[in-house]
Amino acid sequence: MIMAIQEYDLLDKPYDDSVMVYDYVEQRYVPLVDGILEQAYVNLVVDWKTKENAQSYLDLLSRVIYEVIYSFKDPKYVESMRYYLAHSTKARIELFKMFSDTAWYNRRDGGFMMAYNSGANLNQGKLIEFGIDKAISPIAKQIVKNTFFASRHMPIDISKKETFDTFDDLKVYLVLNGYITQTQSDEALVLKDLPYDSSYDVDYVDYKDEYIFTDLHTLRKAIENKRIYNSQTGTW
Amino acid sequence: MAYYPIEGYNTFLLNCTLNQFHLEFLNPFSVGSLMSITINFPLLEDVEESQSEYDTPPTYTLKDFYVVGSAFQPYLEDEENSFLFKAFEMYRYLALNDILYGNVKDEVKWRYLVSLYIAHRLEMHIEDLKDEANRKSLNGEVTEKVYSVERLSVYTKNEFYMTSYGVRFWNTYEPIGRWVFKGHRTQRGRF
Repeated sequence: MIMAIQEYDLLDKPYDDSVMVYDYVEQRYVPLVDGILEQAYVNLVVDWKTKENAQSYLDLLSRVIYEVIYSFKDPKYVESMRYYLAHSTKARIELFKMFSDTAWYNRRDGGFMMAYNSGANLNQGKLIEFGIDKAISPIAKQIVKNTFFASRHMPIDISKKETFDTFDDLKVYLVLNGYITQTQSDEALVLKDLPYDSSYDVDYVDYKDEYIFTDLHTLRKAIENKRIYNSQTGTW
Repeated sequence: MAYYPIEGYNTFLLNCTLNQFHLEFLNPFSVGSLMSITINFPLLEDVEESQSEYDTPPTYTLKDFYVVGSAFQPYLEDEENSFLFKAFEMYRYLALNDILYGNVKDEVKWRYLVSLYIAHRLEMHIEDLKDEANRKSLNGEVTEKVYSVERLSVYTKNEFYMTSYGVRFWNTYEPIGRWVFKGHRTQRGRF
């Protein structure tokens, strides 16, 4: 199956390692204390006294980074970006770069806590705005700009796609995957004969002489099938 | 009784109007001078014979577009996996229908025009996707930048003036289109 996220970049699902784990509740990666120590050489246990405290801090750090990335998006594109961040190898690397950078940034003056400050000086009656751009360092900001994280529209089509050389091959695929019935397949002699369905799309590219199938409900299915915690049984 | 032809693409009346016909009909001394000519062997050439070498345009693919639209290459180089590919396909189809090869009669110039046309459409398309003025967004955030609606007046006048690709396209194709449409150059004003 060809995915719109290229095969070399595609992850079937987010994975955990010694550096980052995936939080399925909020759908985001969270760096680990040991991972930050190994990769960024910052010993957070010294700063936060215990490993639990340090891990809670990294959880907050992860949320801040994700929200900064989503701040570049229109709300309607956030879900597709969330899917991309969870299923892209390249995005995983860039995310950890930002986590490491922010761990350093927070050891300097201010850090992302600056973004939490109200900026109100009641004695002087002045208000200094601390925007969300203060939540990450200038370097992390540049990492965002150097990737697709900063684009307002999701620049990668995440819909599942498949190409076919002949119309018959296409029909076999559609029947096997339940998009059409065998009867509908037999009745369809040309592309226009296929029944209308909003769940998929088929195009014929004349200069390539091939048919392109697109599953228009890829994102919806991914959201429906994502790993959800069952509080009744205590399982995922 | 004179025969009044009312059917057939190859039968033509001569020196006859409907009024003349009625007058002749009421005149008992009429010699029945109504005439019609029927051409049994039309001299017009067949449609098939009128086809020329310019009726079938050359193949135009994605790589032809990269010559002019290289700025869009990162968004299209994954072909069907690219998020702009379907839009490209649609604008390509529109371009091939709008910019007839028979009008331009030059392959390089025709490719240039088709590429400019598609690039113009794609730039407008990306502008819609970005939607910086939040016109198509439910996000009510007020942006600091001023997005004036006045710019839309350009759109109503001639949408090709909205992008640099469009201006280049229009300046090149308009004289060709005018020549094809009118068949001659018109003189403006007194001379």
